[in-house]
Amino acid sequence: MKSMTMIRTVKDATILSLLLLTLAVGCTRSVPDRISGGSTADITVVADAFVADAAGGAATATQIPEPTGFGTITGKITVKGSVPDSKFIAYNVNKDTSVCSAELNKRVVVNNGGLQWGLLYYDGPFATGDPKWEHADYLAVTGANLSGDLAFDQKSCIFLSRIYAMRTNQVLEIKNSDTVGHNANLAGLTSANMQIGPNASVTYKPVYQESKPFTVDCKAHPWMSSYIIVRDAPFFAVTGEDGSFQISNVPTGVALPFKFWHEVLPSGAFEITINGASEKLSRGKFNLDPLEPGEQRELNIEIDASLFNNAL
Amino acid sequence: MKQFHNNRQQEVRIASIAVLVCLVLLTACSDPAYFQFNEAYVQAVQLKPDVAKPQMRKLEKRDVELSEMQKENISTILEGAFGTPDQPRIPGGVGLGDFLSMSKLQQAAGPVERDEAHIPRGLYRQHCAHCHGVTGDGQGPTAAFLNPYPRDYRMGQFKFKMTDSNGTFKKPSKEDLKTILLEGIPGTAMPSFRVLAGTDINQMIDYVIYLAIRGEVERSLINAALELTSDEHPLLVDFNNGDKKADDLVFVGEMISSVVIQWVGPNKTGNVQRTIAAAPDNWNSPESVKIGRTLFFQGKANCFSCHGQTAIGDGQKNLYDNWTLELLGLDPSSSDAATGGEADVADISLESQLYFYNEHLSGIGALKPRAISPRNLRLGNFRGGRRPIDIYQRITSGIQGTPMPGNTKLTEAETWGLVAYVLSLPYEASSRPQSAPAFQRDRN
Repeated sequence: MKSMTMIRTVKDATILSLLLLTLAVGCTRSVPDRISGGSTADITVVADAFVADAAGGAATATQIPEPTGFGTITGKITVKGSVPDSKFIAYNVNKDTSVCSAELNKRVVVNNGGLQWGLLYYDGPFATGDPKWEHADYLAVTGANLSGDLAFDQKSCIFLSRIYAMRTNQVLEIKNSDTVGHNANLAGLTSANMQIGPNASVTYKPVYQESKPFTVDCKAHPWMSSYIIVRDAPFFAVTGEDGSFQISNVPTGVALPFKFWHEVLPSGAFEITINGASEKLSRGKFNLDPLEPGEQRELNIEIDASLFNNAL
Repeated sequence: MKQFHNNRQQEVRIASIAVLVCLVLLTACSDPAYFQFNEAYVQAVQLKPDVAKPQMRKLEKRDVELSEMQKENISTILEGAFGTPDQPRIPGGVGLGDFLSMSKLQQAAGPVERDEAHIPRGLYRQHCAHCHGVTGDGQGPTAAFLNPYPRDYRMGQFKFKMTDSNGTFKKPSKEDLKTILLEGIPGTAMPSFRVLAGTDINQMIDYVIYLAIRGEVERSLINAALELTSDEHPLLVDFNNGDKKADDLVFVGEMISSVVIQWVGPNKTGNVQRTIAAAPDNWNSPESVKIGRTLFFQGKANCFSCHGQTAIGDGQKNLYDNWTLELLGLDPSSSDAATGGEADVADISLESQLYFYNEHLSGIGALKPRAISPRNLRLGNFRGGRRPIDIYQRITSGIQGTPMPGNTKLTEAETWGLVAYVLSLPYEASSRPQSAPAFQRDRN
C-alpha cells in the first residue's frame, strides 16, 4: 500500500513538473520588460489634446521673433595638432577595379591646419519666404537647381563631397562621372534610391527639413559613403579646403543657435574653442550672440586633433 | 472506507494540481494585450559601434541615454494619442480624420470574437498578429521560423506598391495594401486573404496603417527624446508644468502631423498609385528582349551588379535591408551610423557584424539578422507580382527599404525591354554564355 502511494506521488510529481516544464519552455522567449505609460490622468491629458478632428486641431503655430536686418558670419575652422594617415583605412574595393580607386578613405581632411568638410548650420526657427528672414538674394534663387559645378558628384567610386548642404526648396543634381553604373541611396526623411548610369545624372527634390545630415551610399559599391543635409533656412556652410567659410545675409537681432557637425564627430559631445573661449558642446550645439544690422561677425573654431584621433 | 478515503484523497490531489496549473496559466498569460516598446530602436540609436575598432564592433555608449522615465513618458504620449491594442484611438487635429476610420479600427482591434450580429471582431489578431505581432513589430510567435521574416510596420516602409518610391509621397496607398492582402507575396509566408469578405480586408488595411503610423511616431519620439540635452527638461511632455505642457503637446502634434502627411498625401485621403502608360504592342518582341538583355549587363541599368552575371542573384550579396541594418546597430535613417553606414558593415566579418545583435538585442527577443539576397530572376517567382506592370514598377521605382534602386533614366522602350527580358529569364537557358562588359573582365 505504501509503495502504491509512493508510485502515485511520483506520478503526480512527474505530471506536475512536466506541465511546469511545458509552461516554462513555452514562455521563455525573452521580450523586453513592458514599459507602461504613466498615470491615467496624464494619458487622458494627451488624449484630450488630440481629441476630435475639430477645426485646426490642437496645434497652434509658435510665434517666431522678427529680425532687424542682415549681417554676415565669416571664419575658419582649424585643427590643433595633426591626424596621421595611419588612422585611415583604404576603400575596400572588391569590384570594378579598373574604375574604382582603392585610395585611403581620409575621413578627416586637414590642409595647413584648416579643417575641410566641417558643417555649420543655423538650428533655430525660420520663416521661408518672409523677406525679414530671407534676404532678397536668397529669394531670387528660390527653387534653383543645384547642377553643373554645384552638383553632387562621384568619380572613381568616391563621392566628391563628404558632406553636402542644401535647402528644402532646391533641386539637387546627382551626377555619376564614372564609366560604371552607380546608385545613390539617400536615407533621411525624403529617402530615395536611384540608379544612375555611366556619365549620367538624376535629380533629387527633398520635401522635408532634416535635423542632421543623413547618409548617401551606393549599394552597388558598398564602400562608398557620404552625407547630405537639407535645411529650410539657407544659413549653413561647409568649410572649404583651407577650413574657411562664409554665411551671408544672416538675420540680425535674433538669437542664433548653431550646430557644428563633422562625420567623425557625429554625436557632437566634445569641447572646442570658439573665438578663443573653450565651450563644451552637446549634439554640436552652440549659441552666437545676435548680430547688429550690417555686422560682419568673425567666428573662429579650433578643434583639438585628439578628438579625431580618439574617434578614428 | 479506506478505498473511499483514498479516492477522495486522489480527487483532492488532482483538483489542487488543476487549480495550480490554472493559476500559473492565468498569472502568466492573462494580461490585456499591450503595445511593446521599440527597445531595439532605442538600442540602435543610443549605442554606437566603437569607431576605434570597427572590426571588433564593440559598442560605446553615446553621451545621452534614454532614461526609464523618458520611456515611460513616451509610452504615456503614445497611449494618449493612439490608445491600446484593445481600444485604439485616432489622434485628432493631425490630419488623419479623412484617412482612417474609427469603426474599422475597432473591428480590427481587440480580442478575436463575434458581436451580437455575428460580425467578426479582432481581425488583426485572428489573421495577422501571429506573424506580425500585436504591436506590428514583425515579431509574432511564428516570426522566428519564417524566411523572410514578417514585415515590421513600425519603420513605415513598405516594399511592394504602385506609388512612386522616388516621388514625394512614397507610402503605399490603401489600394497597394489591398493588393498584397488579396494576392499574398509569392515566395514568402504571406498568404492571400482572398477568402475573407472585402469589408474585413479594408478593416485590416486601416489597422495596419494605424500600427505603422504609431510605430513611426514612436521612433520620432525616441529620436526627439535623445535630442533633448540635460539643460532642457528631459521629458517630451512635462505633465507637471502647466505652461510647458501645452507647448509640449503642440510639439508632439507637429511630430505626428509630419508622419501623417506622408501617408495622407496632398489630398488628405491617401496617396495615389502611379499611372503607368500601357505597354507598347511589341514590348515583348524578340527585339525588345534583346534591348533588355543588353541593358541588363550595362551600367545604365546595372542589374548584373547585384543580380549577377547569371541573373541568379549572385552579385552583391553582403547587403542588408533597412530593418536588419538596425539590428546591426546602424540606424538607416540617420547620420549617427558612426562608422559611415553600411560601407563598414560590408567590410567586416559576419561574426563581428553580429556583435551588436548578440550583445544588445538577442536578449530582448529581436530576430537574428540575415543578409538580403538579390532576387534569383530565373525562378519565375516575383514577390511584388509577375504582371509586366509590376516588373516595370520595380525597375523604375525600386524597392523601398532594400538595396534595389529605382531607375528614372531609362526610356519607355528600354524599360519595357528590361521587363520583357526579366520575364523571359526563367525560360532562358542558364548555360547561355554572357559576355562580361569590358570593365568587368578584370574583376578576378
